[in-house]
Amino acid sequence: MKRLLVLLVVALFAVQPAYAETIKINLHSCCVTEDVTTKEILPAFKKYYKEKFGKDVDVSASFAGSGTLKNQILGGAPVQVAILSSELYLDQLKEKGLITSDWRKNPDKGVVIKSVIVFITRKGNPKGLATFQDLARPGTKVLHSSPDTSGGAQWAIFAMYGAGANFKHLTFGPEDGGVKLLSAVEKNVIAQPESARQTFVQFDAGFGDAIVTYENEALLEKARGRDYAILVPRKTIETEWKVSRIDRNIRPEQEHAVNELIRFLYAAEAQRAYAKYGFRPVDRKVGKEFGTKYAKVAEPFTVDDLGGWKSARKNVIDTAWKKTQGR
Amino acid sequence: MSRSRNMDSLVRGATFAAALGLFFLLILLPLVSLNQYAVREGIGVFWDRLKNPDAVAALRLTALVALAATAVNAVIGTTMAFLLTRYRFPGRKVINALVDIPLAIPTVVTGFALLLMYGPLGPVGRFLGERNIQVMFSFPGLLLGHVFVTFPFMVRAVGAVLESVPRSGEDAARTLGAKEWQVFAFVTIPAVKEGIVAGAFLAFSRSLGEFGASIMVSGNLVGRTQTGPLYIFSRFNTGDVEGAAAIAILLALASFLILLLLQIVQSPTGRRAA
Repeated sequence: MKRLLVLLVVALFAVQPAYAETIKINLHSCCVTEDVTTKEILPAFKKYYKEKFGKDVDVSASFAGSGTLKNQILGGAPVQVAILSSELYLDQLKEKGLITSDWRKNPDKGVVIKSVIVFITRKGNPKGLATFQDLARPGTKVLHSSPDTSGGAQWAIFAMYGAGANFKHLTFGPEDGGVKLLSAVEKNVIAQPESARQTFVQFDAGFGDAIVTYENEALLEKARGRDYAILVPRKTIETEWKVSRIDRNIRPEQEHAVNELIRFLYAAEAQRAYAKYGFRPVDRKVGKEFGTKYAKVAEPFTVDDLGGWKSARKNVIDTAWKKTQGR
Repeated sequence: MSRSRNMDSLVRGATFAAALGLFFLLILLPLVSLNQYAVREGIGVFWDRLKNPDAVAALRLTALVALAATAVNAVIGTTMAFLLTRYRFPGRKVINALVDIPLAIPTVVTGFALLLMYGPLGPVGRFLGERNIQVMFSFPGLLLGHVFVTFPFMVRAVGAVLESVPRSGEDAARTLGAKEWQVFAFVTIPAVKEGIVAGAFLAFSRSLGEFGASIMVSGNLVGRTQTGPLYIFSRFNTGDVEGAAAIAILLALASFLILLLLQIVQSPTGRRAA
């Protein structure tokens, strides 16, 4: 019996490093990409790499809110590639010397996937909500995650601000149409959970009339059989996820696989997988293939229309949104 | 056999050193590094973070909820402990085991269960909703979560003392004609005072650090329903690690002082003084 146990333990340790040739890299990716990354993209990349270069590559991925991931990387997590929902986080990694390359040199300025901010309502949209202005109606109960912990929430707040703002004249003061709309909707916000996922949990438990969230999250929940209504407002923001190398963590032997992984994310195969899971691809061709899946936004805008990431974060979230809290 | 005694003391010394060393390494050192982080930018920044209105609001709420949850449990936890130790009834063992459930299940699950019960889908929530009473995402919701999580501490602390207090005092009171409630109020309660105090201290400090249930039921609204631990979490995620560490230090220190006080109260000298 004892010998068997010893044998078992020895076997456990002996079996593991059988493929010493494998290149190992770590990927940190924003939590909403978990399903598509683990089920489609990584297996496909592994196969592609083996076929094309004859070597095994093992990509371990970790998923959490972008802010949490950024903190883990700052704290020393041995990650070589990151896909994050806010360029500010990449800027912070650059400031601390973890990123030395320029992610904007990747295709589409580093954007690998896109989505838009929408809202979902109960089945059949019983309250007849269609625009962000409708969410400001008295008696409407709104949920969105907390911008302190969730990248998606930052986008949601940008969307609500932008829907009311005049892009040629952004003042961010109390007379700014965007600030007015944002304050009005925030009066109706009953909870700001930690992540988009938790928001859905609370919604499923019966709370709220609408969740402001990513379109891909809404599509994913719908694909899981929920009977929500997805409303795409005529004026809303286009969100984006950017990919970057975390240069300081890349060892010479990982260099090739890291570059190939990033290239692969832009390839039609990966883009198609992302699209299957509700993201809007950046690849034009794949975009056309999935064209009918996505509602057309009449007046889309981007974070650049709000003055770029730094200004938008400071003026819209840290100032305007902050003022709507703590009543 | 002085040699073996030497060996004994050597072994004892080594064990002692190992235990202390491990305690330092595993428990104390992480807290020390937190402290370092909190004052890394200077004590001025530390104060600044503590004075932040959102931080003050969060700490105030944390203290209020902890006090309220402790008060509620002092009543229902003590009663429960009394029932479990003084009476024999069918299902007692099952209930006794169920008391510890809040320690075993993840607190996030607790939060979700409360959401389901008091939300529009649950019968209780529907009943209250029709009367325009919203329990979740407000103080009462938080309180329910904290009462749930800290309940076992009170029951076990009081139960342990009750087990050691003989029934003779209660029986004597009964023979002298005291009614059941009088026995409970004037004989049992004074006898288990220590247990109630110990349970209250444990429940209070557990409540100070409660996170999982709180994040589900509080609504996490900055300055309104965000408790200290939720504030810490959100500060950490925005990259304000100094802010997170400052509040964390304060909560850790508060818990430490409470538990230290409990030790002093419970020590024989302290008991005599009291």
